[in-house]
Amino acid sequence: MGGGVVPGGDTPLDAAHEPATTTPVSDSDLSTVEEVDEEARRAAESLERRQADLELRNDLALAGFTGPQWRRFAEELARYGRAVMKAWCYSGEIFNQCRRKNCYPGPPPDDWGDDDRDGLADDVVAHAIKAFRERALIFGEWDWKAGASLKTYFIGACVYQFPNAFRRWRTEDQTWRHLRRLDPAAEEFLEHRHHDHTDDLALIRLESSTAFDAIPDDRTKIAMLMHSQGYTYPEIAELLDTSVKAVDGLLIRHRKRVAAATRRTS
Amino acid sequence: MNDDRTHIDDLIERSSLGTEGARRLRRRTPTDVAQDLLDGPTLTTETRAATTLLADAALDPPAAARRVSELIRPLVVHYCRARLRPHRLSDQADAIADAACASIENDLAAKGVIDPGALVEESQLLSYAYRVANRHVRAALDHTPHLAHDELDNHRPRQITDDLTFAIDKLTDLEREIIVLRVAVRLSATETAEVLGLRPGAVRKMQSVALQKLRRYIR
Repeated sequence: MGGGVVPGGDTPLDAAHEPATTTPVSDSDLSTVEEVDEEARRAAESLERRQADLELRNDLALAGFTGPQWRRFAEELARYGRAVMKAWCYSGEIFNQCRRKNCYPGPPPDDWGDDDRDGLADDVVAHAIKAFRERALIFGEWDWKAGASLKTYFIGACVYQFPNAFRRWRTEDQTWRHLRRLDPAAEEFLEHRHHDHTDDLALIRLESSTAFDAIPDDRTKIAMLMHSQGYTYPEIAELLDTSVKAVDGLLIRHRKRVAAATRRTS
Repeated sequence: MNDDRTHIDDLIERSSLGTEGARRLRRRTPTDVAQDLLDGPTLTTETRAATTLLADAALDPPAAARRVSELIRPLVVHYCRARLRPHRLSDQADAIADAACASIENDLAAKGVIDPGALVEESQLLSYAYRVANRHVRAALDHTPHLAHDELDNHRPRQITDDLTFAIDKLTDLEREIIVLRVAVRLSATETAEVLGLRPGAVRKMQSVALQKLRRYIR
């Protein structure tokens, strides 16, 4: 840190004349410094990545956003978007995102399974890639200086596609239920569907635990859900648009809350 | 081409898709699933050629219908053979496939001038051909008694294919259709979904359940 002012004086000291004893820096000050450093690092990385996004976009534009290079990029965009959509459908975060963008499609269903979420994620991403290519890239709606990276802009496109995909899914689901009344084969399939969701059983167990109810904020709940499903800290940070350190903090604070609650009740 | 691929891969890894979290999330989606998303229904060469014919068939509908039927025939034959083999009707499979193709041809020709707006969607042609073939197979099965497993030829050493073909018959109707369309007719999950009116994810799930069942029977 820089030099200080002599108590009672108004000229700065240089390091050679600094007093031997200094005020100790507290843990919370250190933590604040580290957070500021982390934020600065993330901001610098974000700028660098957005500049690389621009370079990528310009390279794809030279080929008219078609051909093998476009195909390669679109594949990676689809892989990323599908993973985010699946995770957000699982955690319910997609409904929060829709609310923020004023396109809330109604509450999540009580009984949708992994297959439903896969299908929805597929539907959303397939439509979003077309819309993103036309509007963000060809028409030039994405601006690297505006602050959103290419992937963030694409996920925004996915959120806007979600309500229509969700309505289509709801209509199909009603058809399935009707078919079940007519066709015993379909009924057997639906029984398999409801009994073969170990992920959902884990979610039900987690959600019914007292500790989960005690989690005060949605971000911690989502972090807990994703962590219980085997998502790594970098992935959870990506899904919550935060740093790995922040995810670590959320989960540590949650564990401390659980430990404190356990001590109180024992 | 390899240089282009390396160059685009390098750009992708330097972009916002290249952060550690983004890379890990990308790896959660298999490449073939991503390709399915980009391609929509991926069709065989036969059906692409057939739908081109349909679109160009304004002047000579009977000839166009005959060509479409010839192009679609390999898929219909694969389907009929796979469906009829468990019932020891393999020797009739080709004849039944021929009858199905004749129905398809007569139906298309009877429409007069083939309307490019009708059946011009590739997946619709596939769905239509499947429905016709399925109808002919069901008609053949309705007239044939089911064979029990122990009625197989006792003098012939039991082969794994006997258990497999018998086990396929034990699946539910939907599971069997999916296995036959995916394995014997070689349709993709998305094509199978279009043909059967299901979501691709549902097809993948049912296929997985059906395969687990088949493994149990064979053991």
